[in-house]
Amino acid sequence: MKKLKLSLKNITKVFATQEVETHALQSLDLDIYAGDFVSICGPSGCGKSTLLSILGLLDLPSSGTFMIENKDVSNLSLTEAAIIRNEKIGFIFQSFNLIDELSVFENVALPLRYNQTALSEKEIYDRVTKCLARVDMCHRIQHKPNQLSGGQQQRIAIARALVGNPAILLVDEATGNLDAKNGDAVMTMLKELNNEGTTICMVTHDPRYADHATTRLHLMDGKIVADAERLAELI
Amino acid sequence: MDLSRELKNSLASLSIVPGYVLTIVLTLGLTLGVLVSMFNLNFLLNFEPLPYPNQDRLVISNWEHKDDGRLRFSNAQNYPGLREMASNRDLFEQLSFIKYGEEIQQNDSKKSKILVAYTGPELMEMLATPFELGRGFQETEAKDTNNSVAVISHQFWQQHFGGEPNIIGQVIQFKDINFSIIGVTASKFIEPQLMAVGRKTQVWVPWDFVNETEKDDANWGLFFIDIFMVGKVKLEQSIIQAEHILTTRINDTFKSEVAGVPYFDKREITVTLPKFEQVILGDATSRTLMVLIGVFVLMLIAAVNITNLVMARAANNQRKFSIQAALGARKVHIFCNIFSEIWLVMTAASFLAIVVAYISNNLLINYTQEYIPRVNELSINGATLVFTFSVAWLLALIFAIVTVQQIKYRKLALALQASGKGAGLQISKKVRTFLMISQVALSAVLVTCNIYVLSTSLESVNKPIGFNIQELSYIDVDLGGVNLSTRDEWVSMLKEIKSRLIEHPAIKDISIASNAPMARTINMEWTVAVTTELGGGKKIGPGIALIDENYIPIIELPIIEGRNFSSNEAIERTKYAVINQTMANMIDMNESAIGKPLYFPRQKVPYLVIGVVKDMTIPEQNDSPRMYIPSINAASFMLKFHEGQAPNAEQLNHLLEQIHSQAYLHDMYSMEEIHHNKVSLDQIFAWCSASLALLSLVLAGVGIYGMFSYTIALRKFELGIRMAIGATPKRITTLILVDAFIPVIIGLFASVMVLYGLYLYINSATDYVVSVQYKGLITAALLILITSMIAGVMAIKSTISKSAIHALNDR
Repeated sequence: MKKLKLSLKNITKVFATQEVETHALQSLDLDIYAGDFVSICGPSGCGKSTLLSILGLLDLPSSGTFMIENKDVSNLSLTEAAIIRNEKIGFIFQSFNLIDELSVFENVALPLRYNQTALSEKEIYDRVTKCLARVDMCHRIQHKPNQLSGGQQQRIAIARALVGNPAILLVDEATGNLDAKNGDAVMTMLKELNNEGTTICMVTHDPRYADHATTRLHLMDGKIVADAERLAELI
Repeated sequence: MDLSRELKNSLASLSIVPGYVLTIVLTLGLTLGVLVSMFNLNFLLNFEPLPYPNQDRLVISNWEHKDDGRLRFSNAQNYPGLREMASNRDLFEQLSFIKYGEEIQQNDSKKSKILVAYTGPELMEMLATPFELGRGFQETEAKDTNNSVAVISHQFWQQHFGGEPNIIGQVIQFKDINFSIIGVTASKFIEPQLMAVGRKTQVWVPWDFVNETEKDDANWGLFFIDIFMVGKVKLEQSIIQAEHILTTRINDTFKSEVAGVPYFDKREITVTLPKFEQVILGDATSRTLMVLIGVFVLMLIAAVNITNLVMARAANNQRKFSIQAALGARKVHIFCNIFSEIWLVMTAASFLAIVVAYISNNLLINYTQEYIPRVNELSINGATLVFTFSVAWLLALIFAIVTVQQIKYRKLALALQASGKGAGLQISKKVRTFLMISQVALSAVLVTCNIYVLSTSLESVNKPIGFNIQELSYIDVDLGGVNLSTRDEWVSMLKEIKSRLIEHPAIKDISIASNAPMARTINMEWTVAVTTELGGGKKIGPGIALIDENYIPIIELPIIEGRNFSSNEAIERTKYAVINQTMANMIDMNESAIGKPLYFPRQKVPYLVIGVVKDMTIPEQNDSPRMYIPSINAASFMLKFHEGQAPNAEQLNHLLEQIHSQAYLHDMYSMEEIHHNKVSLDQIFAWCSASLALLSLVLAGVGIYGMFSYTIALRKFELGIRMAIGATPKRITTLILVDAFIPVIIGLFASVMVLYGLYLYINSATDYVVSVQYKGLITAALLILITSMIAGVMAIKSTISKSAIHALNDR
């Protein structure tokens, strides 16, 4: 029996201005289990990024229940959300989002420095180098992000996402800014991580990469309109 | 380039950012307004000539008294000396004597006090005194004519006679003489305040009416602080030469006249003839200059704030500039665009500044006339307007130049090709850091200086004066009309007044005393030269008070050694003395002064010291020796009232009339009132410095907030990334504050350097002595740090109080 990692129940997200209300997500239910590799596809404006923001506790749902490892996180304070983000979630962004002023080492070490438990410098160093070795970037440890190629920057971003041993890896169009070769390499890396037991939830508009996932969701107008796996099971 | 179109466009552009316009107009309008007012005052004091013809030749006599070449005191002259100086007519085109005094107006039901000047027609000619009604003194009122006429001031005419048009010929009575009013000075007449700042003569009468015993006195050893000779030095005569001639004449005569008096053995008198301007201004110009510098620094802080705002606005306008650049606008066009906008805002601020300066001038006129000379001449004039607009427009030019320097014109033109992303204009980190450092340094300097002024002022205001001033008043009774031929009759009269006054339910206690511990302006106590041995020993010049046994208990002056007088000793005028601590130390630092003899000039029987009392610390007065002698002598009293029951002058006058129909209240003042007057300048300084410190902190806070906001805006996406990977709000706040900490510390360090330079300059190049106050410095540094922290927290609050996605979406 797989362990439930994330659970969304009846989640809605409404963006309201003075004149208009936009329903980005509508009564959405989603369960992600340990070891899952979930891909979320859909056209522009369907709510993919909003869903990922809520999954990553970057934003709060307007209503509904959101559980991470059976803990209700629907209404956390900003500080509590930050702590859970730091301990349970790893992010990989389309535009890498590395901090230009910091070295590769410091970029990767950043989540550890925000950890509630103060880690020793040695421990930080060990964990950072281990993650950099995992993405084969140890030789660039003192470089600044702008001295690296796009593919290298994304590998650093993956190392940063992994360094805190997150419960789930959230991937937002990780290949969007990369050429096909680098994009494939990143996908291979994600697949390997998943095979090693890392739970991944990935937003992509590229069906080629979505096929790598074990669960493929399609989002339309803020609703999940198709779950390919479940559909297959039903058949 | 069409200037009017440029201004029209700028106006339209500004109309959609009212907050930006309002912030600059208010910040600059207020600070520039205060600066303009201070400029006005300094310009008046330093560059505007006095409103008298040939003002640079108008001088007033001053005697400097030196013993062994050391200055003992100045501004004390005597009548024979005045006559001696006046005999040198060849030095002066015109000259006149003047004596300042206070008299009780007898034909006034309230018996109010009037400020009188005794002088001659020459003074009014020298000042070209204009008249509203009547005329000034003429030859018919010159010396030895004994013509009892009076000229009154415009203000006195309005206040005491309600501006009655038929005032000429009416009578004003004092010193039992009826003076017929012959003229009223014009409202525009500005009297030269030669005696004291803020003293405005109400009535001028001829010199002949100075007390005969005084003006005909031939004693060269008796000095007065309220008599002067004023003159217009001849055109061809150098003032230095005139001073030399008069010094020789006065000194030679003085020495021959006081020969044989041991006290004056080594006395030299130097006659100086300071110009009216020097006497009137005193050291006011250096004080007002310090205030001007302080306000200028305040405006610099405001200017740094505005620089930041203008640059941030230019950064916001990058798309507009990019489009203009893409369409062919050159750098000069961008400059004109920025300049015209800021010029409009600064012009608006200038108008507000003029209003603020007008209000500030009126506050100065209403509240500081007693402390700042010529302040009543302040007005908004051409120089004010030129200064205001020059400063504002110069600042506009500087802001525009600094902002344009930040624009990378080449990149600007390419910005549109990059979809408006990334290639535009930003305030460089170097500039931001510089602005932050200067903001902090200027504020720290100003806050430290103001804390220094505030603490010294408060120290002066709160300093215990050594006796109890609560419910304590001094009254002087005029018994001139009472026929008292013997001393016994005089003493009986005084005792009668004392016993009748004590029956009044409001009066708790009473003492007969020649003078009060504190007087309105200069303490009018007598100073007598005493020696510790007959014809030799130490020479001391204590202030003398003739008192009865009640004086020391009434004012609650602590006796630290020996005892007070008894009632009999006061009546009998026993040759005892109670002295203060300073005098006891002057007699002997190591031994007790009790039992020590003190000899008055020409007296063989000494006064024996029977008690030592604590020193009084009167504001504006240095510690000086004092000697209290038991004697019932003067028709003046110290009254202690029951709490809240002090009667007014009219009630006391009524009471005195009941005692004797010819007894009038000549003067009355409460010690609390005198103390309040003496410390009111310090109170004003305390208020001003506290306000200035607060204003600097607020301005610094606003400026630092602006700097933080801009930095946070630039870093918002980066902060979003940090938040996304788990940085808590506290962490983000700490990060921002720690980043700003270095410029703040550099700014504080720079302020210490500036303050040290100021300290060295003031102590070496000016007459002021300032001490290092670490407490003030640390307080200022802490205040700046706290202000910076508050500004930082406020600036980051909007980012950290929202979900991380908001910051991430800000790219």
